Formats: sequence, C-alpha cells, structure tokens
Amino acid sequence: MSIPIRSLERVREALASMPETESRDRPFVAGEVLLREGERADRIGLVIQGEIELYKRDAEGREHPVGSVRPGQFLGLLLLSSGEPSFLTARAKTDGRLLEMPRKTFLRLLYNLPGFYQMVGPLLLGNLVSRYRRVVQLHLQVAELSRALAAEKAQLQAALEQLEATRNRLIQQEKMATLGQLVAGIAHEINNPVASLARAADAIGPALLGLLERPVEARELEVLREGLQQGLRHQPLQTEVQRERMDQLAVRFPDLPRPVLRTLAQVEPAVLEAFAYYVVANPTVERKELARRWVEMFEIGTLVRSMRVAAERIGGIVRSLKGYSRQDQAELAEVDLRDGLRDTLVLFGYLLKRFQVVVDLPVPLVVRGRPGELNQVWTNLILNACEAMGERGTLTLSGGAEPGAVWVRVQDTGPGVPPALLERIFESGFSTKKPDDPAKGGLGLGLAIARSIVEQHGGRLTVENVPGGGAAFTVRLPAAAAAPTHPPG
Amino acid sequence: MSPIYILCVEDEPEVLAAVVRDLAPFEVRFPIESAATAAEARRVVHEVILPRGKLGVVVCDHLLPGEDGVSFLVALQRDPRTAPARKILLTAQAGLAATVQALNQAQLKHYLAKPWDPEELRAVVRRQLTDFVLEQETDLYPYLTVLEADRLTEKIRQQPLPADR
Repeated sequence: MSIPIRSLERVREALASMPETESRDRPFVAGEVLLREGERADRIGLVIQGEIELYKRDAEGREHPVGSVRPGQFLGLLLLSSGEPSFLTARAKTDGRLLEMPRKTFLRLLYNLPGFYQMVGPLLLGNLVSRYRRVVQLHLQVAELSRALAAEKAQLQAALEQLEATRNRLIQQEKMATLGQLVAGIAHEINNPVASLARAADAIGPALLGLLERPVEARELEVLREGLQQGLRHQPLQTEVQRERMDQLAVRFPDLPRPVLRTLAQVEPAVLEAFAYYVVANPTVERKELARRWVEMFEIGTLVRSMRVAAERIGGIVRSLKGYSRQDQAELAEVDLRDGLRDTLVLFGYLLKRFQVVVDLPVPLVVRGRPGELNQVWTNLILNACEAMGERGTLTLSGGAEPGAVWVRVQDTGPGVPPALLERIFESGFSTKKPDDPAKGGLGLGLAIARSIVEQHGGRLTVENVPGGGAAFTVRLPAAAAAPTHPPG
Repeated sequence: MSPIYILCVEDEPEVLAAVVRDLAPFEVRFPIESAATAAEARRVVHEVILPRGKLGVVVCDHLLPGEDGVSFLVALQRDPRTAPARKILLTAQAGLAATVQALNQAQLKHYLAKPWDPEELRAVVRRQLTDFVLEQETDLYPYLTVLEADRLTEKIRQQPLPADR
C-alpha cells in the first residue's frame, strides 16, 4: 500500500507543526540499526523517506529478513500498545528519515487530540492490513514449501531404496559369479577321480574274466594272492622313474610287449627279481603262464587301488563342499579358520593348479564367527590373488595367533597394487579387470564384500604391497574369547 | 622304419594310467610315452621321442601344474619337428575361451571331455593316427591291422606298385 508522497508530506508537516505531538525528524543512513530485537523501544516512527529492512533471529541466532518498512509505514507498530521488548531488528536499507514521537504521547494523542486520528488512523489501518496480507502470503508459502519438501523427501527415500536394491542385486550377482566358479571347480575336481574310477571299473571286469578263463590250481592261489596284494599296495611311480625302469626292462626282456613292460616297471624291484629268477631259472610253459597271471593279478590290484584312491578323492571333495557351503548358517560358532581355508583351497584347486601354493598355517586359528561367510572371504581373496597373478606365480597362505587375535595373510606375486589405489580397491565396483571380460566373472565387489564380512566379525582387512612385488591381504580377527556378538547382516 | 609315438600328458597318476591303458591296443605299433607336466613332456619329446622316431599323436590334459596343456600344444605346433603331430586336448572343464585358443593356435584336432568314453578316445586316436600316417608315411602296410584299414587300403590302391618307382 503506497501513500502519495504529497499527502504524506502534508501529514508530516501537520504533525511537526503541533508541539504537543513531541515529534521530531530523525534522519538515518543505510546500514544503521533503528531497533534491536529484544531491546525496549519507547518511540514510534513514521517512515517519510527511504526503506528499512526487518529481521528476526531464529533459535540458533541466525537473522532472517522478514519484511520491510517503506514511506507511509510505521516502525515500532507492534510495540505500540504493549511496550514489550522489540520483536524484530530494523536496519536501514537506504538513507532516509523518520518522523519520530514517544510511544506514550502517540497513544495519548490518538484518543485525545482532535484531528490526530484523522491523520494517522488511515495510515495505521493501511499498515496493519498490509502486514496481515503479508502474514497470509507467508502462510501460503510455508504450506507450499512443506509440500515440496515432503515430495522431495519421498523421492529421496525412493532413490535410496532403489540404490540399496541395486547394491543387493550386485552383491547377489557377485556371489553367483563366485558360485559359478565354484561349480566349475567342483566339476573339474570331481571329473578326474570319476574318470579314473569309471575307467578302472571298466577294466577290472574283463581282467578278472580273462584270469578265470582257465582253472586256477590250489598251489597257484598263494602266488596270485601275492600278486593282488602287491598291486593293492603299489604306489604310482613318477613318470620319469617309470620310463627309466621300462627302458631297462625292454633291454632285459625284448620279447615282452610294452603294456606288460609298463606293468612290470611298477612292480617292486625285489619282487620282480624273485619272479625273474623263478621264470628264468626254469622257463617252463607253466612257470611262464603263472608269471603272466601274476602280472594280471597285480594289475587288478592296481585297478582296485586306484578306484579306492578315486573314491577317497571324491569323498574329500564332498567333505570340503559340506564344510564350505555352510553359507546359511547364521549362528556364530567357534571355528578354526584353517578348516575353511583348506576347504576353499580344495574346491578352487583347478584355478590354483598353474600356481605354486605355499600353506603355512602351523597353529589353530580359533575365532567365533559364521563359517560360511568367512569362506566367502577366503574365496574372494584367493580369486583376487589368482587374477592378479595371471598365468604363473606363488600364492602364500599364512596365519598365526597373537594375544587376543588371529591373523590370516593371502599373498600373491602379482604386480601389486598402485599406492594411490591401496584403499580404493575395497570400494564397491572398483575393479582392475577389463569391463569387456565378463568371463572372469566378478563385478569388482569381491574385496568390498570380504571387507564388510571381516568388519561384521569385528576384524580388519588390510592390504599392503610386498617388497619385491605382489600384494598381501591380511585378515585380523578377534580370537575366540574376545569375539563380539554382532547380529548377522 | 622309425617308430611313431603316442604321448600322453596328465598330472593325475590314476587318470594317466587309465588313458595309457585305454590306448594300449595301439601299442603293438605305436609306443606310448607319458609325462606328468608340460616341462617333462617337452623333455620326453626332445630326449626320447625325436631321437628315436616321430611324434604322431599327443593326448594332453588341459590343466597341468605350471604351464597348461594348451600352451604346450601351441609350442609343439610352432616347432616344425612336432607340427605334424595330431593334438588332442583332454579337458575336465570345457572352457570355451581355452578351447577356441587351442583350436586356432595349436590346430587342435579334437577335444574330449572327462570322463571320456574309451571307445570314443580310441576312435579319435585311430582317426588322427591314420591321418598322420597317410600324410607322413609311404609304407602303409604295417598299420593296416591297427588303424582305419579302409582309408589306408584306398591310399595303397592309388600308390604306384614298387616296380613302377
């Protein structure tokens, strides 16, 4: 609401001409404080020229602009009737001037001086109306802001939930990728013993049938039993030793076919000598035939032995798998970390074949933890080491106990980690793998997952470069008695 | 006539024994040598096989300790003395990438998944040995009983009679 300058000037002149109003001109300069919040003010001012900004302090003491007072408007209006300390701070925005009079005089004249109300009444009313309008507008603005704020909050919440879902999905994918490698590993590990088991089983039937084609005389039985036992006891020779012995036997028995020489090469030399003596000393048809059957019996023994070895291998893999896959076990249990490490090494043996593996775990490493989750840590660290080393290298697993803590170190002979990235490699999604190489499986979450599992167990996972090349990841966990009991997840 | 060798490379002793046993029927004509690692296989090729004869077929495990089977087969393919040998990869994990690499670089003739069928293994080795002798040998009669006789006879029929040479 604006008052024409001319009429305002008339009001000023009229008021100034009445001595009983005790009014006086009060010039002000930009930046000058005319009222201070919380201080008492006993004067009321009518702005004639210039503009004054009003400020209110919030609970933390910050000043906020809440409006302005322009020519024709009153300063100190709120104090008019109450005389309470000032509600606002008034600071001049521009140079200007007020017509000032004491508050009590103003109130008294309002009722007693004829013509005074006619002059200031419309101004007062206009002032109050415009301030009330302003309050209503502010209410509307506050309502609008609250609505926008609520909408923004809901959006943020949705974004956060989406982010969390994505993160969980990525972790799940990472776990599936590891699981894929695990399954490939088991298939590989089981395939070898299954192959030798199947092939030995195939061979043993015909061998027995061939042996029993002719009747066995009672006095031969002892000899054949001896052949079988030799075969059962037999340990496979290194290929080089076998080749050497085969070459020697080929010179000695030029008439024997190579498969027979190969079997003979595996017979203990002392036993073989006794046999050679038995046959050579009196080379009858019967003795030669008995020797032939002894060799067959020996061969059957080696087949049975290799079947047993294969079955043990498969049993061992299944045991490792049982130990490894306690993923769902959410309860804390006292575990020797060496068990999980061994299971993991067995199941990922196919990946480790091209590397030297050194295991130095001399003492029990007992912690309270969730074995399945800890196996995930070993898996991720070992897979990470394999990837760092590429085609060849040495993987060293070491561990030890300290007062109150145990540690496990997984060390590789890869290129190490650039110093600038030493901490970053634990971040989600950080990977040195090429993005176009999804065959490698991982999404770069392996180390992040490992670290979070270790921290949930109250431990620490750190990395350092080893002098001479390679990286060493160290897991440090509280020893069994000192372990915390955080809930899972 | 210098012998044509079959070389088996496999690090698991029981599996190696099974491969050698399955291939024993060929040994009347083709001596079998075996090795547990790529390094040993390389020594066998250069110190045992090549001084005495030729390398005809290699049956090689994929994952070996240290250098893997594919890399060994690729190296054999690069050496002119062993390039003609037929290469068979025996693998417990049929990794596509490794197989493609072997196919391309080692001129891999066949790959077999473990556990293998012995008849199939023998059929594959018989075909590869037949290919090898057809390509490398002139006197084919000694192989008639062991290898694919019909393909050998076909070739023999096309050969000029000794008198015509």
